[in-house]
Amino acid sequence: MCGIVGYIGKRDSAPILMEGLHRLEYRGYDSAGLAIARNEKLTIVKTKGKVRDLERILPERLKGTTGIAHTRWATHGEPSDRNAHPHSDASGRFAIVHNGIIENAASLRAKLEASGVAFKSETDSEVLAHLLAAMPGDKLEDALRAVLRLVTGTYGIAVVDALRPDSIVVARNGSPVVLGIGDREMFVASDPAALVRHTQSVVHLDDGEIAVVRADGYETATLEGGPTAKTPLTLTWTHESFDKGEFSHYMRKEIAEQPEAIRRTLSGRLESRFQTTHIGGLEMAARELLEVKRVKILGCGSAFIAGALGAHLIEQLARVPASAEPASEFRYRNPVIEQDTLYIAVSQSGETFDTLAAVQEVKRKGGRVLGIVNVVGSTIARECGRGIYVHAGPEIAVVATKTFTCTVVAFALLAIHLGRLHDLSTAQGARLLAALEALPGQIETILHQEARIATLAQTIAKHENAYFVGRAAGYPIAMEGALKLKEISYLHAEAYPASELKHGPLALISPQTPTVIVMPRDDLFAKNVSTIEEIRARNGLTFVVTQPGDPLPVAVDAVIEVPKSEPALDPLLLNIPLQLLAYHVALARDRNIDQPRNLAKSVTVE
Amino acid sequence: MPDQTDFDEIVAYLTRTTRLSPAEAVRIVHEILHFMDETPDDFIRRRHRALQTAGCANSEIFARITAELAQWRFRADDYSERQIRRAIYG
Repeated sequence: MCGIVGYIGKRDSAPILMEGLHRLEYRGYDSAGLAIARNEKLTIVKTKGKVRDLERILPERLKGTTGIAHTRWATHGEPSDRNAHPHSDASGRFAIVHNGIIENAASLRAKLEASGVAFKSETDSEVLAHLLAAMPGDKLEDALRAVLRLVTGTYGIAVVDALRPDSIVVARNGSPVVLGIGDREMFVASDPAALVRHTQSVVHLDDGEIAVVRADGYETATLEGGPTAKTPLTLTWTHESFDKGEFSHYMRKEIAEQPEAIRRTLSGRLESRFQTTHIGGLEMAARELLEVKRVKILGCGSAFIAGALGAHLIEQLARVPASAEPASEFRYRNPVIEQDTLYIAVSQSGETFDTLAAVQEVKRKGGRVLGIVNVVGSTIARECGRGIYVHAGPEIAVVATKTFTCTVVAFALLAIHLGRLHDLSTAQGARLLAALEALPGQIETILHQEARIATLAQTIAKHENAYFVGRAAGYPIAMEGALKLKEISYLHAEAYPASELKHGPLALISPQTPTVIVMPRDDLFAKNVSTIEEIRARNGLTFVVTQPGDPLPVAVDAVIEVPKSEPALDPLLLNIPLQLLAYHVALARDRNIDQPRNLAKSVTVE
Repeated sequence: MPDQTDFDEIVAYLTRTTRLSPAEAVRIVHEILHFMDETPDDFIRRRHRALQTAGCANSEIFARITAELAQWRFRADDYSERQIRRAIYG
C-alpha cells in the first residue's frame, strides 16, 4: 500500500526521506517520489518503479530541510512517472502526498477542468493540490481544512508549501498518519517503520484530525479547528528489528523468529497458579465474559484464517459457539449485531481498512468488540480500546508468518481464559499451559527439517496447481498453506475441507495436481486416510503433514512429521512446515518472496 | 487429584448453605484443591522465589516460610496399606 514520509528539521531532508521510503518498501508499491521545499521553490522528483530507481535520478545536490515523500500502490491510474506522487498545483507552490481514495475525485476534477485547470496525472490525489491552490488565505492549514470539507473519501495527507517551508501540514481520515518527535526535528509517516531509526516517540493522529508540524513541535486540531490533546507513545520496536540479518529474505527470518515471538506473546500471560491465563488488555470482567453467548471473529487474509482457528479454539476449550468471517464481507452485508456476541477484530497492522470499517459497524450498532493486533497504538487497537497485542515484533515480508502463529497463540490464551471461566478443568488448563510453553522448542525442531521440506518443494514447484486439504481445525491450516503458496510462488493453490473433496474437486485430481494433506493423529485420522486413498486412486501425488505414530496405513509420496502438542494446539505446529514449503517453492520458482506482485502488506484501502 | 465424587459431602453442604449451584460448588472445590495441591518442597521453592522477587532478604524469607508452612494445608504423602491399618488400629 501507499506510504508517506516527511521530515522537517535542521538536516537535509532528502537522505532521511529516501531512507524512510526504503523502510516502507515492504508494504508493496509501484512508484516513488519526493518533494523538497527550498528558496520558495519545490523540487519534485518521481518515477515509476522502485525506490532505488528514484535514487538514480535524484539530483546530486538536493538541499532543503523540509520535504515529503511517497511510495504509491496504484488505485486510480496505472503505475507511471506522472501518476507517482507528490503532485503539485499548476504554479508549483504546493506539493501533496496522499494515501487513500478520494471518492468524489471525478466530479471535483470536472469542476476544476471546467475552470481551466490542466491535470498532469490520472490520479484522484492531484485534485487536492489544485483545490489547495484555489483556496484563498495565507495559512496552509486553513486552506487544507477548506479542501477537505469538499472531499469525500479516505486520506492520509502531507502537504508542503514552497512559500512557507517552516511547516508540513498533515491530515487523516481512514488512512494512518503518525508524527515522530525528534530533537528539534519532526518526522511524518504513514507507518512507524519509516521513522523508527530516528525516534521512538510518536503521536498517532485520529480520524478527522489535522496537524501543523514544525521543526520544534506540532499542533493538532480537528477539521473544524478545535485543538486536540495528544499523548506521545513510545515505540518498543528498534530499527535493528527491521533488518534482514543473516537471512536472504524477511520471510525466512520471520519464520525463524517464531519461537522467540511466541515467547513474547506468552510473556506475563500464563497464570500457572490457577491453570489459566491473564490478559491485561482484555478489560472484561468474568461476569461480562460469562454473558457472551457467541463469538464472531473478523479479519482479512491470514488474519481471517487465524480467526477461523481462533474460533475453533474457543469452541473446543470454552464451548462457546464461535465463527470467523472475512471483515470485507461482514461490513457490507448489514450484519445483525447482537448484544450477547463478542466481536473480535484481527489485524497484524491494525490499519486494515475493511477490518476497521467492520469494527466501526459493530460499534455503531452497539456491539462490543475487542482487537487482536500486532502494531501497538494502531488504529484498530485504538478504535477497539481493548484486546490483545500479539507482540510478534515487526513483520516486513508481505506474507504473514510469525504474526499468524502469534495471533493463533493469542486466541489460545483467550480460549483458555474463557474456558476456565466455564468448564475447562484445572487439569486441562495445566496441560494447555504446559503445551503453550513447549511450543517454541517444538517449532525449533520443525525448523530443523527445512532441508527435507526444501527437497519436497522442488517437486511441487514443477506443478502449476495444488490442493491443500484438512478436516476440522486442519482445514484453516490447509487454507493458510494454500494462501502462502499462491501469494509468493504464484502457483494456483486451493484449500478444501477434505470431507468436501468428493463433492467436486476430486474431478481435478491428476498426476499434475499434487495434494497436501494436513493430518493430525486425531479421531479424524482414519477419515483422512480414506481421503488419501481417493486421491491415490486418481494417480494424484500426496504429501502428508502429520505427527509421529504408527506407519501410515496407505502409501504416500512424502511425509513430514511435527511434534504432538495438546490437540487444540496441534494445528499451530502443522502449519510451520507449510510456511517453509511455500518459501522454498517460491525460491525454486525465483519469485520476489518479500514483495510478491500486486500485493501489499497492509491493505489500507477498500 | 481425586475425582469430585470424593467431595460429595462438601459439595452438598456448599449447595445447601450458599448460592452456588452443585456444578459451581464442584468447581470451587476443585479450584481450591488444585490451588493447595503442592508438596512442601514445591511450596518452599515457590515462596522463596516470590519473596526474593519482592526484595526480601533470606533471613526474613526463611522466617516467613516457616510461619507459612505451619498454616498451609499440604497433600499427604502416599500411605501404604500397613500405615493405614496402623492409623486405624494402632
